[in-house]
Amino acid sequence: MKRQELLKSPEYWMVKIQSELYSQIGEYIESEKINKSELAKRLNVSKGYISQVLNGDYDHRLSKFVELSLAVNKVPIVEFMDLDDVIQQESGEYVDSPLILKKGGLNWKSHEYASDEGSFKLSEDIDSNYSVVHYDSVVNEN
Amino acid sequence: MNKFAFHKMDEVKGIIPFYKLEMDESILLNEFENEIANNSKYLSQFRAALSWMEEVANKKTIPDTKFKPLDRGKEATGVFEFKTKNLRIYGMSLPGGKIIIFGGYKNNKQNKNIKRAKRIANEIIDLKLTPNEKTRITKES
Repeated sequence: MKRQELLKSPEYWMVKIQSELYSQIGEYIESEKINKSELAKRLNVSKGYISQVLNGDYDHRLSKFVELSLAVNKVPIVEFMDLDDVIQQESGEYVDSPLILKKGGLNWKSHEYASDEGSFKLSEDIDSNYSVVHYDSVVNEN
Repeated sequence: MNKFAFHKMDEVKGIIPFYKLEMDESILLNEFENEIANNSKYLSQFRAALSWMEEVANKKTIPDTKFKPLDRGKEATGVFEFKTKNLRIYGMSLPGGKIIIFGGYKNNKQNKNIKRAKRIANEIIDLKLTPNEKTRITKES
């Protein structure tokens, strides 16, 4: 499977959230030195519900997600990013090729991309409606 | 005699590299993925399994309902499984990273699959193979 296909899948982002929730609940249980039953009592939910969360199978209502977060003294901060930007940032595909970005898009002035060859620092040319970014040089930090 | 090679998995990004095992010129995980390609339910679970692999690659602790070692102790082969509702993906830990061996299903063949995974893992351990990101390693057992 291509990396892009995985990044475009709902399963990938669901697992990210489930894994983070599992971590947070797990840390809370450990720090409070309580068990699943006690946690369920504190959150006014069933033990089965807590088991679902701790099995990494959480897929409930958004309101419940927020309540769970607050109950373990955390707040979920949600940030949306452009999917294409996420894919491009990961791929490191810009070696020796210009990248055309829309103005007001990425913070391309300070872009650094990483790939197996090292990291790349970029210089930029600015045109009226779009920015063209060229690779200056390869900076190998190894 | 089996020939082995390791292929870096680009699907999974993290601190711990993941590799697919090629055995006798077949990448077994790719074959499994092709097998389930037309089953949307299995494909969805496959994507979820890859995503849980990435959590492990980033050294996160994840539920043992998703990732579980299959043996422990001094004689352990380091074999593990990633689990979804209907799928099992078998792998092993080596000093250079994690090797995904093959995929299977949650069914009455699980014990057979686990034995097969351990057998392959033992061959790899006996050959003292370790993955390297930049080279393809092929050895004959």
